[in-house]
Amino acid sequence: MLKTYKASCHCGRVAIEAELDLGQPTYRCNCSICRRNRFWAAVARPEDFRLVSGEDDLTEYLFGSKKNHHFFCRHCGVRVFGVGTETPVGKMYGVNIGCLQGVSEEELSKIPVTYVDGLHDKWATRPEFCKHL
Amino acid sequence: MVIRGACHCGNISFTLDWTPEPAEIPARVCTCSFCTKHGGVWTSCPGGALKLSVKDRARVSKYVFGTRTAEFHICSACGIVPVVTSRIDGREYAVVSVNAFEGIDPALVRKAPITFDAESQETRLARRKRSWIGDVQWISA
Repeated sequence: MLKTYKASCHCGRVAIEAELDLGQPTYRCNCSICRRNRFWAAVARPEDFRLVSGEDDLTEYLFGSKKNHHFFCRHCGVRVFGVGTETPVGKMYGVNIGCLQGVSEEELSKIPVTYVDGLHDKWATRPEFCKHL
Repeated sequence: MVIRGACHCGNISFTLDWTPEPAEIPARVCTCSFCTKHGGVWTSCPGGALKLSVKDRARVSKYVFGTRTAEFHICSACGIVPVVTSRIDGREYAVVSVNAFEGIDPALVRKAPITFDAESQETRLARRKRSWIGDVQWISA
């Protein structure tokens, strides 16, 4: 069920709101950037995502195919969200579950996780090794 | 064992000479507010030697919070935090991110969650002196 969540970076400058369904699969990826910050994303449709504050505090990082836009707070470095431009569901926002407010440890532990092999551009495939993600 | 690591774009990199040779690498999945949002998983070996290299110092943001006794070195280009340092009694100590390791078998890394939130500052600094890497060198790239 969709519910409205707030999320923010560590220093608080970047804040977002999004309608998310944490009963649906969330994603952990083994690609070179997601591995480095253990990014754990819940998916939001563009119409369900709002940047509340911090537009001027965001740095955009692009690499590889440059299809995915990685944003982080230039002060504390936290990656609250990213934008996928060419995904199977079109443009979508990935919201960092580690940044969500008001979600209990028990709720976090129940969120279904799907592992994807972004390292080899096989987004529909589970990676051979997942434990470190 | 020599462990190399770097942020994503390569601006901040490190070489950790871990001695004696580890059978496994213990890693701390820290549950503090910063590490929860950053996915911070840290390791250190007190007897090791760490060489840190920065290509462009202007593209490193140093972030402090809480007790303000540790500096998180954030690459301003890619947002990754490969290293944290703490200056205690005139000496620099460090931990490195296992997420930034390059070419290390993930099966070697033994992760365990840990919370330091209740520590006093004195206990915290004593622990860092005891368990963080005490031989830290900055190398000009």
